[in-house]
Amino acid sequence: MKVFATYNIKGGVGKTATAVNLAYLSSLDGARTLIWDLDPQGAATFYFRIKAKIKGGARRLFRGKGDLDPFIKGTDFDGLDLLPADFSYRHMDLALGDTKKPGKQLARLLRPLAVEYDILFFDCAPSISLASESVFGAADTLLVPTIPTTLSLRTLDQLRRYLHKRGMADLQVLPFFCMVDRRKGLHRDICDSREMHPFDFLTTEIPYSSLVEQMGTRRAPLATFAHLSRAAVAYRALWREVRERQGVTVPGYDQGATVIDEKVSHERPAHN
Amino acid sequence: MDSTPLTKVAGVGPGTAAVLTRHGITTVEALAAVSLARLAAVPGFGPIRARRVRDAAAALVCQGPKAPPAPTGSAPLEGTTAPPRKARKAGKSTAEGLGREAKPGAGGKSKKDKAKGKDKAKKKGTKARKHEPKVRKAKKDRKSTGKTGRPSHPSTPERPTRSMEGSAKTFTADAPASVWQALQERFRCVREPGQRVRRTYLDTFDWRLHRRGATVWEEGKERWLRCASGKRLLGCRLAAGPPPAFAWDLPDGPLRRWVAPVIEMRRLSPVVTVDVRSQALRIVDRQEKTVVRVVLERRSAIGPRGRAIRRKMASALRIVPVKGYGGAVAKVVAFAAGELGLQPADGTELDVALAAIGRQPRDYRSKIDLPLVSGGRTDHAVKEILGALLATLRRNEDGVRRDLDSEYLHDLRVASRRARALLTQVKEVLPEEGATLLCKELAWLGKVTGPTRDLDVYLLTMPAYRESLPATAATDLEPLAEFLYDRRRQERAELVAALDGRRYRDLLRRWKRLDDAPLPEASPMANAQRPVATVASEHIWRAYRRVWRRGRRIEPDTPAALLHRLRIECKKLRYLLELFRNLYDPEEVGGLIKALKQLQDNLGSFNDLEVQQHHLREMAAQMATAGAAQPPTLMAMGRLVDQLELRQAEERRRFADCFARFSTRENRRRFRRLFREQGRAVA
Repeated sequence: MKVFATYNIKGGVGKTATAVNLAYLSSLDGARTLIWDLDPQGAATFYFRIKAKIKGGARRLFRGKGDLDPFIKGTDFDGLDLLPADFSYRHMDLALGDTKKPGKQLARLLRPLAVEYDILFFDCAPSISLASESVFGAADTLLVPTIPTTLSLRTLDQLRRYLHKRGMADLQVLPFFCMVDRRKGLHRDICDSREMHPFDFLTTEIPYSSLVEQMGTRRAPLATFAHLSRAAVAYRALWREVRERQGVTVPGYDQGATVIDEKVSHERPAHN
Repeated sequence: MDSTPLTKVAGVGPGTAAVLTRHGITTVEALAAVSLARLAAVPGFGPIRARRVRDAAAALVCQGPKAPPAPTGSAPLEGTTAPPRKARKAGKSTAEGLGREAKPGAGGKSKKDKAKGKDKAKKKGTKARKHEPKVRKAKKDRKSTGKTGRPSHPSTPERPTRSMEGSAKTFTADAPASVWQALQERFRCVREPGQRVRRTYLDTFDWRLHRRGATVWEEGKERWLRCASGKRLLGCRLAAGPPPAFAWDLPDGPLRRWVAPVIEMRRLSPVVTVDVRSQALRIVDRQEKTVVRVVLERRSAIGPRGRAIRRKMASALRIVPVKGYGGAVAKVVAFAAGELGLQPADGTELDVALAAIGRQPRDYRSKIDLPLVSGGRTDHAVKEILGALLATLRRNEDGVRRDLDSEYLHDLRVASRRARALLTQVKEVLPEEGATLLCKELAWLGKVTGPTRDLDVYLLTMPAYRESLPATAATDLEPLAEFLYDRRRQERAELVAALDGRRYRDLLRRWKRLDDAPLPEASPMANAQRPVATVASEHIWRAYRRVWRRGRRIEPDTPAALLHRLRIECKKLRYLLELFRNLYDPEEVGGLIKALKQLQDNLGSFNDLEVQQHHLREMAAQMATAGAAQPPTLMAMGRLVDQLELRQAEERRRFADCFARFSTRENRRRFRRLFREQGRAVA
C-alpha cells in the first residue's frame, strides 16, 4: 500500500481538493483507494456527502486495537472509500499525547488496511503538530500544494527544516504549485523559476479555477462534472506525474488505462 | 470551460453544429445528454443519425474517466443552464442537511428506518410536524436530480467492481418491470444510465476454476477480466487481441497470480456468454449520498462456439451494498424479499446461464467416479468402468486433434492406460479374445501418443530448465526450445494421422463392441460372476504386495532399472485403487492413494530425470549433426544434464524416506484390513 498525505502548514491551499481528486483518479485506475480525512473541518467527508462522525472520536481510534473497518464508508465511486472526519480531531494532539509513541500511532493503525487498499490518502489539517508528525511517520510521500507566493514558500522552507531536524529528511516531499493564476506577475515568476527553489517541484501546476471551488456545491470530484476543464486535466497530469515518480502500479493500469490529454499536461497553460 | 465545441464530435461539422445550436444544443455535453426523440426532431436528423451522433458525443465526453452522462428518459440540457440552479439548491439543502434540526427530518420514505426513529425519539416531539414541508422539498430535490442527474461514476460494467460486488445479494425477478417500478416508488433513488454488456465466462476443460469455487469472466468493451472467488474479486485489463488462452498470456498481477496455480497448463475456453441489458438505480439518503446500488439485469445466455444457441434467462435483481451503509442494504433486501416476494437467486449467474443452455458444470473430469455395488458381479463392474474410460478417451479426442493444450493428450493416454491396466491386472473376467486384442491395441495407442507427450513434458519444463541455469546460459537454450517445438510438430502430425487412421478406428470399434456386447448369464470366465469387491480386493492386495516386496529390496546402490520396475508396479496399484475406490471407505482409500502418490512422485521424478538426461544427450548429438546448435547451446545443454544428474541423485536420496512414509505400519495395516481381511469377509 502506498500512503500519500496532502499536507501544508498553511491552510486554504487546496489540500482537500488535491486529496479528493487524486484519490478519485487513483480509483479510476483500478486501485483500491481510501481517503482518511484527518481535518476536523471534514471537508473531504463533506465532498463525498458522508456524515463527519466517528463514534467515540479520536480517542477511541487510538485507544482501540486498530480495527478501522467499521468506521470506513464507501463513497459514490467504486473502489474509493473514506474514513470520515470527526469534530473531535481538533483534539487529536491530546488523544495522541496520551498514547505511547504518538509518532507511530497512525502507522500502526494503517497496518491492517494494507490488505484491503492499494493506495491511501491522508487529508491533513493545516498546522504542524503532533498529529502531523504521526502523519509523517505513516506516509510514504507528502504532496504539498503550494500557492506560488512568498509566504507559501516560507512555510515550505519551515517544513523542510522541521523534517530535517526531526531526522525525517528521507520522507519524500513533493511540492507542486496550486491555485496558480498566471495573470499575476508574482505567480508567473515563482512558477517559472522553480529550479531556484531547494525543493523538487513537480512540473504539473494546478491552475486557479472556480470549478475547484464548485466541488463544494456539486459535492463530487472535479472529473465527474467538469471532466474536460483545465483544472481537471491538470489534476490528471498531476496524478500521472506522481504515479510515475512513485512507481505506483496497479492491476490493469499498465494494460492501457485510458490516458487522455497527454499533450496538455506538458505545455504551460496559456495566459488567461 | 465545461464545454467542448460541437464540431469535435464525429459526424458534426460547422453546418450541423449551427443547426444544433439553433435548437438549443450548444455543447458536446448537452448533445450527449439529449434525448433521442428530441435529437431526431432536429432537421437533418433521423433516428439513426441521432443515435450515432449522440453516441459519438457521449464517447467524447466519457473518454477517460468521465461518467456516461445521458440519463434515461427525456433529460433537459445540462452543462449550460442546469448546474448553477442546481448548485444553489444543493448548497442550500446540504447546509441544512448538516444542521442539527435536519437530522431527524425523516420523511415518509425513511420513517421505517429504525436508527433514525430512535434519533427522533431522543429529540423533542415538536419536530414531528416540522418535517412535513421538508418531505415535499426532498421529493422535489429528488426529482430534479433524478432528471439532471448528478453525473455518475462509470461504476457498473466498465470498471472492476472490487469491493462490493462480492457481497451483493441477488434475487430472481420474474416480472422485472413491476419490480423496477416498485423500487422507485419505495426508495429515494437516482436512475443511472442503462448498460449493455456481455460477460463471457471462461474455464478449463476440466472445470478447474469451478471446482475451486471461482469464476473468471471477460466483460465489456474495455475488456476487464475478473476473477471472483468467495468474497474476493480480482481484475485486470486485457490488451487488444484474442482472448487469453493460458495463464502465461494473462497480464501480470494479482489475478494471474491467483489463477495460474489453479489452471496450471490448461487452456481457458469460453464456457458460456451472458448478454446483459441492465438498468441501475442508486438509492440515496437525504444528502443525495449513494447508500445502496440496485441493478436489474435482463439476461440471455449464449452457448460457446460450436453450440451457438441463445436462451433467455430469468432477470436478476442485484442489490449491491456500499461499505458502511449496512442498514440501508438490509432495508432494501427486506423489501425485495418481503413486499416484492422475490426469491434469492439459486446459484451464480454462471450456473443459471449453464442451465439455460442445457450444460452441466463440471461435466468432465479425468477421475473415474462410478457407483459400484460391492456385491455385484465383477464382469458387470469391469464393463461399466471400461465404458466410462472409453467415454473419457473420446471426450479428449477433439482437444488432442485441435491441440488446445497438453492435458487432453495426457488424459487420453491415462484413460487408455487405465483400461489396459484393468484388462491385464484383473484377468478372467471378460471374454478372452476381445480383451487380449484390445490390450494389444491399447499398447499401440500408448506407443503412438508417447513421443508427443514426452515433448509436451519437455516444453512444459522448459521454464524450469531456464531457471536452473544462469541467465546467460538460459538464453543459449533457445535453440533447444526451437528444436523441441519442431520435433513436436512432426510427432503431432504423426499422432493426428494415427488418430485419423484405420487402426485407431478399429480400436474404438473393438472397445465399443466389448462394451456393447451383452454379458452372458453364466460366464465361463473364473472371476466374472464373483462379487466385485472380492475380486478387486484380491488384485489390489496382490499389487500392493508386489510394491511392498520390491520397494523393501531397494538399497542406495540398486540399479535404476529396478526403481523403474517399482514405478510400474506403483502405477498399476494406483490405477486399481482409483478405479475401485468407490467400493471402500473413501477416506481410507483416499489416504492410501495420497501416500502412494507421494511415492510415485518421487519415483516419477527419478525416472523422468534419468530419461531426460538420456534424451538431452541424444538431442544434443542430433542437433549438432543437423547444425541446429552452436557450441554455447550444446554447453548449456551439458550444464543442464549436470543439473539433472544432481537432482536425480537428490531424488534417489529421498526415496528411502518416501517409501518409509508410504509403508508406515498404519498404512500397511490399512492395506491389510481393507483388501485382505474385508475382501475375505465379503467372500
